[in-house]
Amino acid sequence: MTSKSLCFKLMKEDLKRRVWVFALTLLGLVFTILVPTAIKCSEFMEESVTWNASTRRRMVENIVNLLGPNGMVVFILLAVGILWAVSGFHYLHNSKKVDFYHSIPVKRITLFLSVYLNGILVPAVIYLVMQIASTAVAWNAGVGLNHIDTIPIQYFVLNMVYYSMLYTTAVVAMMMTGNVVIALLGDVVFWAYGPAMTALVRGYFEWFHTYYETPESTAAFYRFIRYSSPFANYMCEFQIAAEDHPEWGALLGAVVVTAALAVLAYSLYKIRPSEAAKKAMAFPKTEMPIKVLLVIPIAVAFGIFFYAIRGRVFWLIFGTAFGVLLVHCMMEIIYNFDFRKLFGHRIHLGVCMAAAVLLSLAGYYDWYGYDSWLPNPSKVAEASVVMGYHDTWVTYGQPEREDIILEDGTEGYNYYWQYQSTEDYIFKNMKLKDIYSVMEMAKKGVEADGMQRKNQFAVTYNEWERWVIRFRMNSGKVVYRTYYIPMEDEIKEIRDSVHDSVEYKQGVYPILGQTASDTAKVYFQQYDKRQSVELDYEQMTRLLNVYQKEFEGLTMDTRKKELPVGTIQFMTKEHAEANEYGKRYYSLEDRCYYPVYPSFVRTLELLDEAGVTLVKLNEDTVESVRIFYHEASDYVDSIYYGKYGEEYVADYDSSWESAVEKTLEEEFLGKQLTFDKQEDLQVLVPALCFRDYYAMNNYYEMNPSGYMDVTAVLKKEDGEEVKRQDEYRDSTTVDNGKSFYLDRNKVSEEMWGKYHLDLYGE
Amino acid sequence: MIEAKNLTKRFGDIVAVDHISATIRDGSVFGLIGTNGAGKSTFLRMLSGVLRPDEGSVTIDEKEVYEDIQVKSRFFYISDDQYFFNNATPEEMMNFYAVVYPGFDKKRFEHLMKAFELDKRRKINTFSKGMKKQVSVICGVCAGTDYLFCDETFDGLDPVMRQTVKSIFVGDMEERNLTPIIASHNLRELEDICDHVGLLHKGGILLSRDLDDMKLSIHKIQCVLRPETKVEDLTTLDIVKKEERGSLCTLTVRGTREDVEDAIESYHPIFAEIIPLTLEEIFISETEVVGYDIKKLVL
Repeated sequence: MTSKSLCFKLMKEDLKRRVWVFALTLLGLVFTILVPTAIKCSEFMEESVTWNASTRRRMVENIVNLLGPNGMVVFILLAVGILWAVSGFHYLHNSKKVDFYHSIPVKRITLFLSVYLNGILVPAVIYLVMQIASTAVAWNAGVGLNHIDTIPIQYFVLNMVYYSMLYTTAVVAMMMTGNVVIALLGDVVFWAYGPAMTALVRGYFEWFHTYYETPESTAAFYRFIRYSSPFANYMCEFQIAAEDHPEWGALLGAVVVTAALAVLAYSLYKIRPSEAAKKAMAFPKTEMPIKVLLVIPIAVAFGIFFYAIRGRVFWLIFGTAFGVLLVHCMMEIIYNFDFRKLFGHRIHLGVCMAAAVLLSLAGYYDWYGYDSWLPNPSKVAEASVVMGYHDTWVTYGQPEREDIILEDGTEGYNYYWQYQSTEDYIFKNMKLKDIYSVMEMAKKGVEADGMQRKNQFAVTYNEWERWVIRFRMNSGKVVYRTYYIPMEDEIKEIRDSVHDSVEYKQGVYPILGQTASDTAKVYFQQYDKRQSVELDYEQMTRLLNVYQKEFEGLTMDTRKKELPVGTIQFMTKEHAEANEYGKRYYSLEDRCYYPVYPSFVRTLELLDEAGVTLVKLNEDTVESVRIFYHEASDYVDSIYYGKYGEEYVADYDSSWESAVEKTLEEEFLGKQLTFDKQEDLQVLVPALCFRDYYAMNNYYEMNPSGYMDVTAVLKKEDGEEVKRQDEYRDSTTVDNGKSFYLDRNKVSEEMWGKYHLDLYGE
Repeated sequence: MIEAKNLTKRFGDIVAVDHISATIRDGSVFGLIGTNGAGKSTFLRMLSGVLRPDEGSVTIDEKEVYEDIQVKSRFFYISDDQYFFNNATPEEMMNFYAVVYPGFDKKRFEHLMKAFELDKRRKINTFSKGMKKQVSVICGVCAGTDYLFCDETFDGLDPVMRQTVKSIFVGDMEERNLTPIIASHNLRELEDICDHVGLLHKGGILLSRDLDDMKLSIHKIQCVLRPETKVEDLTTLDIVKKEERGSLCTLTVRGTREDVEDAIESYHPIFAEIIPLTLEEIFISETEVVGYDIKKLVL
């Protein structure tokens, strides 16, 4: 008898014995594909006449999704994959069955293939039949074949490839073990070890306070997760397919990996000793490496966990040691199936203990010298910095076009804003040559970190900034570090000098790299009122150049003293097109505005020449000022602002508690007062700081009162109507009120009492 | 001919089979006897290609057994607890064996099932232990192989069935030169069927001889010696075991009957009689020689 026909006959015999697995697979797929499709189709047939095109399209998508990216099918395939592997090779875990199978005159390869192939081919046939039957049902219900397309086949291929990979992994687990429970644990290890290790490594990096995770390292972690676990790989590829279409290259890779796993499984099967049945591990030589690979990382994770709870080095060591002891003992019990072997292999236990504790302490004390590392300035070619959380208003990215199905069911497109992260942009565009200042900042950050480590992380600073620095070395190597820098006066000076450099601004503000030829339109906005600036190309070029020049020359001193008077938008051609088209769905017009400071004299002149009217706040342009005084209780857990506009979360433990409690009896608390008399406006209007402009320049030095909401109602121009789009109603006409802060420094102290500005000290 | 050379198998620190060499001639019944844990089953599992020897080799007609399908198709292995598929009937087992053993005789299988009064469509898991043994023997003899490896196969069979099975073996030996290799610790079961006996003890082989030779080369003498003669004086006798009850001595001695008779006569005993040894007595004597004290087990 040829081995091919023998293999086929054995497959038939094997299937007879595993008819229950066949039945479960069939049942699982019937209830995850055929039945839901039939139910949806029935609904579609009966009710589609009452639906509009959009609902009908959504329903068709739902039906097609059952034949394509159907999560329930994935779940069933995962479960039956394990079931086919376990039921097929379970005999290897039973000496009676091993005697039977290995004594018959059948080559091991034939025996292996007859069982292995059944585990792939049978579910494949069942799944294919389900796909065909469900497609027929959908087609019969009126779902056009143009909608179904090749989706059932695509997902059949995708799911079967990854099913085969997971199934083969489960077969490998069966080969490596001598007990089903241990094999299932092995599956968990194969599926979860890579992602769990990635999580642990990222957790371990938390010890390094200066560690900065770049998008590249995030992508590397993601890649590792994706390729280190067959389960994660399946989930990633399934998600990619669901969002777009299957990646055929990745699928081919999965086929190759599956084939390699199958060869590995057979090789293990061939060399697997028959006497391995009923033992935990079939190959004793694998016991120690697997144990070490599990014990040390889990123990380090235990250490991090205990440290996170209590924050003391004792608990870090305790957690690590406890983790080693627990996992090592558990593995010894599992390996020997004997509780009395709890403390077997004490040398292994000792080595694991020492390695895990050393790893934990090395992170805790930074024995690697990662956080204290500073580059040799002569070896730094250039640097980039992301300075604190200032200038968060800058828009990075560009509009992107996407193909969509329109409401009438036809194909169309839309624009959305593809944001780029601040750090990404800055690291690409900033090339600071003043390495000295950057190094000074880094040194301060290293010192602060050293202090924190010495004092067990108990040191806090009243005012600090998070700086991310990118050093590009002469060798081309790029190093990133995050520093938490205490903002002492000396440091602020260094910071200001970095800020004032042109390279810094060129690296932060995309407008400085924009050209007139890229620019389509210019808008000026003041207190939410947007004006188109009508310019010819030459005028626009001039305005852009002047603005860029003045913006490049903006110093920290100016920012401390001035707030913008308005904002300007040089809309790129791409942006203009996207905005024009995108209006059908949502507006993209509120992006890429830049501040115009009072000291941008030339810019303001050119705007004036272009006919832009600039509103100056005074008692002639402001109708009234409304102040709402919050109840003290409103402040619990709410945010208020410090002297320099820095944010604090309020609670009754904070220092201002008594100040607020003092005023509890005041009758105006929880109420709004309106000041519209000339004498009041003369005092209050000069102290108004428009909130949006303060958000654009939070270096501005002012003394805001944090317990009140200030609204200035601006006078409308003749015929002007201000409307607000309400979430639930149509747009409603409202008064021209805008949100402001009140700078107490600009109100004489004798007037503070009148406007209750003295509620919170000075 | 099956030949085991220097065969060794270890399970961790335990040496289950320790450098065993044995030759099994075709057409004879080879009895593999030994104490519990002597390595009989391990030896058979290596013989049948289930286990890979750590050292040494097992060959059938000079071909290695392990993973050689041609060689493996020449024997059928009946383990001490034969595996049958879950919920399988004898008929289903027959169909499976017919796939893997091309010479499987289905007609004979059905004939023997009837003869043994076993229902071929009844689930095997509802059978008694003895009935399962019968099914496994029927499968084995119907496989049409040259060799039949039986591990404790007669254990669980009633005397009638034992005799029936033995007669089937004898018939097959005559008809198609079947060579059964039977491992058992029940010496009485083997005594009337084995031509050759291999005696295993603690993984090693004590002896491997034709049963007739074995019976002819060891004898038991019951005698009453003259008062001036002590057992220790019987130096010309190769005494394996001695037992004295008053003046009656029972001696187990090696040698041919003639030599033993001549030797005992030379001491002019008051009374001397040579009585035959059962296989069980031979087994006990031989194992006691190597320090296996059966009395300790009884205690």
